[in-house]
Amino acid sequence: MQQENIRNFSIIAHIDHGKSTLADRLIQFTNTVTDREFKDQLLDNMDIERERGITIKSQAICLNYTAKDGQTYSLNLIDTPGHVDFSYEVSRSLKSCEGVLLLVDAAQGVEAQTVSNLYLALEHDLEIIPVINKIDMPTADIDRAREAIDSELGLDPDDAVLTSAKKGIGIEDLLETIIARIPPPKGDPEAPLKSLIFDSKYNAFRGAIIHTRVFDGTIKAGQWIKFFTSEAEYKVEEVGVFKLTMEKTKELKAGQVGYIVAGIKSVSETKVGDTITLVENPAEEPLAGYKDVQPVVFSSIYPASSDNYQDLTDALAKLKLNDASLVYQKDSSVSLGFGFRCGFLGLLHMEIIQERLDREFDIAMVTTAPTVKYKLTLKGGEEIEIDNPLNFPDPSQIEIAEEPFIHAEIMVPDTYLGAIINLCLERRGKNQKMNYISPKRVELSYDIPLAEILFEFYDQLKSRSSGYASFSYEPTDYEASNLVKVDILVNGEAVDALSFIVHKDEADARARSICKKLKKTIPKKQFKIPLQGAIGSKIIARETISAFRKDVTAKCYGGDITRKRKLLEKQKEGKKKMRMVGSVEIPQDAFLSVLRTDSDE
Amino acid sequence: MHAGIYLHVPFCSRHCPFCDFAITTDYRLKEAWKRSILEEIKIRAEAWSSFSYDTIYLGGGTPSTLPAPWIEELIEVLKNQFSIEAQPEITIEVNPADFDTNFFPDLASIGVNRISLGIQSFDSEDLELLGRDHSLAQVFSTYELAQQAGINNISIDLIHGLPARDLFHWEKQLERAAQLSPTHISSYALTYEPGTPFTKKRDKGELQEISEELQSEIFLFTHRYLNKVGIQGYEVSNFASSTETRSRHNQKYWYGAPYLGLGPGAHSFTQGMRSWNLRSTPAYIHSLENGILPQESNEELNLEQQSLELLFLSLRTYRGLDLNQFQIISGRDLLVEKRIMIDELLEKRWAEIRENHLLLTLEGLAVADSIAVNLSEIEPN
Ligand SMILES: Nc1nc2c(ncn2[C@@H]2O[C@H](COP(=O)(O)OP(=O)(O)OP(=O)(O)O)[C@@H](O)[C@H]2O)c(=O)[nH]1
Ligand code: SF4
Ligand SMILES: [Mg+2]
Repeated sequence: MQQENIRNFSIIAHIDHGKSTLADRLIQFTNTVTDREFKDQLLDNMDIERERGITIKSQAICLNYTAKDGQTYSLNLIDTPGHVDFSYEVSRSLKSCEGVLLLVDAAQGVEAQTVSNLYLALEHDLEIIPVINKIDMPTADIDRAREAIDSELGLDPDDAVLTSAKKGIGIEDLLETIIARIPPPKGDPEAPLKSLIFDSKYNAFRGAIIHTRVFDGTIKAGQWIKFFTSEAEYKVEEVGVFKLTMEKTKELKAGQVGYIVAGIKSVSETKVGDTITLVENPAEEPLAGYKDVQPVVFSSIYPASSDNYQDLTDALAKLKLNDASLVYQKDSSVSLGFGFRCGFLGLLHMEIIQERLDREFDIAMVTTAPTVKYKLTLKGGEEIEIDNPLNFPDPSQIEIAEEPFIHAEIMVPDTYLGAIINLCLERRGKNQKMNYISPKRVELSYDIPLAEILFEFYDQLKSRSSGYASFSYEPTDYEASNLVKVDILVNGEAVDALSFIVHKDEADARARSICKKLKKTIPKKQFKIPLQGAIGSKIIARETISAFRKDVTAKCYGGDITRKRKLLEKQKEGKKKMRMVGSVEIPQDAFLSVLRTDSDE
Repeated sequence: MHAGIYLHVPFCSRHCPFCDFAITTDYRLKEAWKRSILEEIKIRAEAWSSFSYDTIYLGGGTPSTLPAPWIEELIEVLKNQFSIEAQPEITIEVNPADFDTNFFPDLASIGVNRISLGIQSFDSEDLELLGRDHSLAQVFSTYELAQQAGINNISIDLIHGLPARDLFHWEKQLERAAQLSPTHISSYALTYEPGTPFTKKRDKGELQEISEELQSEIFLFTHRYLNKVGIQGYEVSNFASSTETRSRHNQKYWYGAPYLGLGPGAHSFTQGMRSWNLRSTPAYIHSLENGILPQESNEELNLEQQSLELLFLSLRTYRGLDLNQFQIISGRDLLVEKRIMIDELLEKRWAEIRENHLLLTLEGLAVADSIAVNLSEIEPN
């Protein structure tokens, strides 16, 4: 394939504006899959994506299209996620493209992620084709969408292509526009190899499979490659392109997107953003890599049983290959032993990671309550950042404490307006704005501390609006706040993994609720177990687990001692799964239960 | 210690809703069961011939549903096949019913000298709740018939902790039991076994399980009450009017003596090896009809298991855990290794140490299981 006949582009948009559905139509129009193989949102191939109906991973696919000019083109399409938590996926995909389709939902118009994704595309200097999608919707307002493209995005509305991904309208027109407007890749196939790793995936048989965009040079099976950062060298086993499955090719040339298999078993050597070159005749300089991710939500993950620490370590390394936005480092807690402190791009991201660890690696774990990153100015003037309650300094040392805020946008039918306003106020929301977008639908916006939405905000939102409210947010700024660290003491000993940082006004209520939950999950002992919440030495909440009085079974009958012994053995085994704090065992469930703070009160 | 023989008679007139024993209500199987158990005795006799036995226990189910001649025959066969000590303890479990006047004299004539009478309660509403089909009149008549036949060693089985019953109600049951001056009482707490109708009802909220506090009160009260009236406790659920009338057979289970179990679901134990028979009566019969040993499975206890069993079984008894014996089996010196825990137990008066035995007080006995589990955990040092 001639370089002039290659087009590399991503589809970007706000969540749910129809990217994956549009990709479906492009795939079908170019006969890339058979009817039998086809299903809706074909590129959303992870179970979690299909269950939730959203895209989490960027996904590339190569289409062959014979245009009206009679020539055949190779189109590399990358479908990207729209949710703000996965914007790192988008920015990585853009690195391998020359252009983007920027979708705008004709009914919703321009939304927050439309704008952020536009900026990403501009940053990468890409050709931008605005596409107004969902024009079939009865509520579609094409003129208003055009107007927004002009005023809010600063793009020429006359360039916009009109489509309905659902009905398959405007697809050919779009394909022709792609050929005409998006430039073919540049790059010299004869130059020393420079190929960017933009994603990777671990395969138990073949090792890490690298997803790459070749910028210069050519790569074939049998050659020795080298990673710039890790300096590791591997012999290429196979190269190919992404069709519905991976399809082996002879070579990958400058301008192409494809994959490399090179028996890479050591996961740590593959770093997304790194440049691959050849051992023989290497390039002198790597390509510019990716910016480091800035996580906003933090939580620690510990293996459920300390025997599984190594499994957790391996699983995280493999997952990181496929999700470069996951950051983690070793962590250790007195009560939970060794684990990892993880940073996530948002709550959804955290949830997805935990779910993937569970599903793809079958790891039982204990996760601590999520926290945000606080900025503290100490009495001496020193500024520090804290994302782990374990490191929170003594209150007497703190001059100013600041916490991150988000800008929340909530759409809600007006019947539930009151309930939702109350919720936002309970969560310290401020700068309320209200906007009737239709006589019955209100758009509410608030500035809310990020920490406030970490606990069941979403569930509350749904339950107080019978499921009708929708919610999106973007991180904004840090603001000063009256923060305290609350310790939870079990039988007089602080359990570090249960400590949390909270606004002073809410400390009592939260501490009480956690003590109540612990009371339900910690098994009784032969002695009373006091549970306390404390700020420093001041006790702010208290519960007591009463001692058990009787546990001896009545009868060992007929010589069936075995059954009875097995029961006791089970009890003994169960105790191993618990974490000892002093002389009290705390079961795994207890750590989980405190995460669900308000649900059953 | 001498060995014991247990023989399981799986037949009951109906299935009590709390019971999960290996039983059947199909009396048509009786003949085949008898043929089978005679076969089993024949097969096992040789392997078990090296022991001498001083107890025979006919348990169930309801052994008293068998005709007296059958019981005579079975005991006769056992006596012929195994070497039985002089003056063995021969117990038969009896459920109160209308007995033929010859029944007990017949049993007495072949040496049955102990009866375990399944009274359960002296309150007819309790009996109904428990799904028992005997009346109070039958309780007294059965008791009397046995005594008249010269069987004076009579044990009474009681169940405490029934749903929605208080301590006062239980006190009355104990009083009436004591009035009979039995030589022995077994008082078992009602337990909710998985799968039984009782458990299902409890889970659905139709039966109210009594609180842990009340269970504990009843437990302590039972021991204090019976000890006071001279029926001394010697194990969690067992009481006797003298050391001679303690159940010689049951003590074998707690002290690790060998025992041979015959019949459906019966367990045998010897030299660290426990084996058990098929629980279902038809399966048991089928197996023996094909000349196969009706064994379901067996296990060889490793050291850890042996020590755990020694711990939890001996801590159930008033005699307590022989620390020397424990050290020989497990290699662990508990007084050193578990010093902190034992000191705590002593301080709380949950345990005492006497003549190198660790024995639990009543308060300790109530939580004997978790004490055993805790003691069995090897301290990382
Ligand atoms: N009526 C109509 N519905 C559409 C159209 N395109 C997509 N949809 C619907 O919009 C919803 C979201 O579509 P997706 O293709 O999953 O949206 P997306 O942009 O990929 O969403 P994320 O990947 O989660 O950001 C689905 O229910 C689609 O059926 C369209 O042109 N018309
Ligand atoms: S009579 Fe005894 S063995 Fe038979 S079912 Fe009732 S409780 Fe169980
Ligand atoms: Mg999608």
